[in-house]
Amino acid sequence: MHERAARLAASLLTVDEQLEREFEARLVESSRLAFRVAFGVLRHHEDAEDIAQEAFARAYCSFSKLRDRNRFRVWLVRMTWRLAINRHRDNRRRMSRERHVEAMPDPTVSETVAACERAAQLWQAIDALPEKLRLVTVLAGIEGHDIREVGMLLGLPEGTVKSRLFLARQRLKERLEWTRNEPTTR
Amino acid sequence: MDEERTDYTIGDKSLEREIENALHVDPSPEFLARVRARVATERRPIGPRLSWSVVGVAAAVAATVVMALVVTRSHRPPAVAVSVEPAVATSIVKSAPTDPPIATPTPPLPRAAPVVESTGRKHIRRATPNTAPEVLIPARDAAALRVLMMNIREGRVDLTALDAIHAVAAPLEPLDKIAIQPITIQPLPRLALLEGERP
Repeated sequence: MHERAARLAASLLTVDEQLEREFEARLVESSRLAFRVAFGVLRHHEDAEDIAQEAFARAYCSFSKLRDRNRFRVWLVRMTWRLAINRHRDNRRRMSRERHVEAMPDPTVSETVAACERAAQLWQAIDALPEKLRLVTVLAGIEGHDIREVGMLLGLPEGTVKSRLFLARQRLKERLEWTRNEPTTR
Repeated sequence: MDEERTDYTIGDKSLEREIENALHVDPSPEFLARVRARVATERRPIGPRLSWSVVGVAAAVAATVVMALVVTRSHRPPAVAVSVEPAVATSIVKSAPTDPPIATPTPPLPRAAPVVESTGRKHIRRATPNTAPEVLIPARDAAALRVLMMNIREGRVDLTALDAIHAVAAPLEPLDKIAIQPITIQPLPRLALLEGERP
């Protein structure tokens, strides 16, 4: 009897340990994705980390249902986006965040002030997009996601992603005056 | 449209590059450690557990069972039973003592079935929890019995007369000496002769 109980407890422990290991693997491979999704909304380093951390904590609580890698990433992206949007709406540090924009992204030595201004204009243009278009734009700009991957992350058909991406970039281009000076192939 | 998109995509490389550069931001080195610490503070087990939906379903099932029990109990032998005596019984009972049969004297009807002097009204009585057949007592008899008992309690009735009756009464014969006469059944007279034939 005791032997059976010990065996059962050991098996349960093994299941928990296995889940812990799987979650650790997901955490390592998806932490950057969650952070960048949050950063795409908040553009504040600490805020983005907070949101990504919160999303991972929630994912941990529901991990028994999210063991599949793709399902986990889809869930994580959506949860992070939603949390970031909520934070973005409620955050009173809006002004300080806008000041941060001028310093982002990590200016290197070769970057000029003009490049920073362009980045600020770009973020303003992205902010002006409707949420659906903004999400597609951010996800497509993260880790080189192609249309298929973005569609998988959002649970959308590739055609829908493609059209949204096209529309988003068209609006961005219209808004960004500096793109008019870019040479086009048309 | 596709051609336009292709041209746009080709011409938008710089925009794509700008967006990718803007999003090419990495979390701080201690980010993973912070997440691990946060996860460690989550005390709930990582394994499957009862979700709110499961809890809700369980509560609904429990409520259904309770309701079923309540309804079942309410459909058991009701606290108030209704008995309706047929009008036929009334005629039999009333006619029994007054109109004895002409041809064959029948023994008096048993007391159990036609006891109710009913006029077709509903009689309401308390149901008994046991399964013994219920005893129907006429309302008048019951009222009379109640009055009698009340009078006895209040001393209005002299019970000493009963002792005198008991003393006068002859002792009962032993049962083995009782001879039961056989019942003879005679044919009924023709109704036509009694009531007359119609022309």
